[in-house]
Amino acid sequence: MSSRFFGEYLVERGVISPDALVASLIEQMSSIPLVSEVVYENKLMDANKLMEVFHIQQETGEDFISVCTSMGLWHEELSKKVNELINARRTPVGQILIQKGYLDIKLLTKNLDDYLAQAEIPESSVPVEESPETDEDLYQPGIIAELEDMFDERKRKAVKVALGFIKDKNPPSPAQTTKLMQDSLKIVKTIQGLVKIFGLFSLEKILNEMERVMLSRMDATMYTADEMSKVAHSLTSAMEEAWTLRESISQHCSDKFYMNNPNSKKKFDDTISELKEIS
Amino acid sequence: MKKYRFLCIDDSKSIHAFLEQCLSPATLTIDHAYNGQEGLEKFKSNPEGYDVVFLDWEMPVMDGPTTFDNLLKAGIKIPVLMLTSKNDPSDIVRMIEAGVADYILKPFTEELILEKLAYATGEN
Repeated sequence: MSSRFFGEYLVERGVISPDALVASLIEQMSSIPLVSEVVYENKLMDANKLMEVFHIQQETGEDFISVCTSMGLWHEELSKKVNELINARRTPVGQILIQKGYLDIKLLTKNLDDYLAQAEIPESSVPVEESPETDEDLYQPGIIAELEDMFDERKRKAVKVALGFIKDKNPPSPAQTTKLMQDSLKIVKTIQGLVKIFGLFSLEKILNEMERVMLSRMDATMYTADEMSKVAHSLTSAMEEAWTLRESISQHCSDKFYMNNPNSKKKFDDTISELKEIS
Repeated sequence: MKKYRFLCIDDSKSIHAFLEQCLSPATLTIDHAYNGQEGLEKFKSNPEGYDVVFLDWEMPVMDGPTTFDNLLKAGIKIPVLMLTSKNDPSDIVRMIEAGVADYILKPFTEELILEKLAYATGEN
């Protein structure tokens, strides 16, 4: 994967100016309230408790959530509520770039294709390594917001639609199937890049296995339509499981609720095993 | 079934007639445009006046993807359903990724239209 962010790539190619990117990022940042601000404005915490948290923050230099967590004030329901309120006020950068007229969709998707094409590697780019323990993970709202922006409903749906064509009773030609697999891989790699940067290991693991399967079955001419349909079916299930995990991370700022639940953990393990068997 | 205010953008009058018939159980109002430019102008002149847009892919003056691009620039937030007879699935995937709520392959049935409508509006 390229070490540059897509925004930087657009600037380097002269598609947008540095000023346009900075202006869009500033506009986005200005739309994101502080966690403490949201908590205060929505009366989600007693004023005395808030004062206590601020006092400890000043003394220790720790962030708001960490202090609240250590004081036993940060809980699942509060986390969910705060994230919902923050996300409701946040505007995605892509949307700002388009709305400000710096980019149109055709130009955006064309450049995204070129950007991702640079990252296409014949073999899996993913090293085989065990995920670290994630029980202590507690992601900041900024990371969660990035995840929600990058792995959004549109990407989930686009992969589902692409694989849906391959699963169809009247499947497309092998050439079209290969193209659809490439489309799906591009989207998966986009999400993968982000989760890797932020160390969302459990989610990365599913996406890594999906990448391996897609790369191993990329040339649809080597397989029957029925075989490709079964692969597409497994990949669709894996994408849905990745989405379930993404929703859980988004809701709890951590993957521990998902991984500590025996049912979801089993689904996770089954998904990984099924994908490993295919690739 | 909930009632919606529709904007249908398609250059074929028969598609408009069929859509009107299909959508009748869910129609509060239905507005018609016969090319992308006209549809865009109707939306811009009354952005709060619609709940769902049906948008054809291939049209004169302004095609569906360009219209969608312009609708986004105009700040559209409501679901847009693409009507298409395109046979390249990759194009459809690209439009879904760009933000259209769903696609409907022509020829379509009343059942399919209502099913896609329910999905796009979160009614199902």
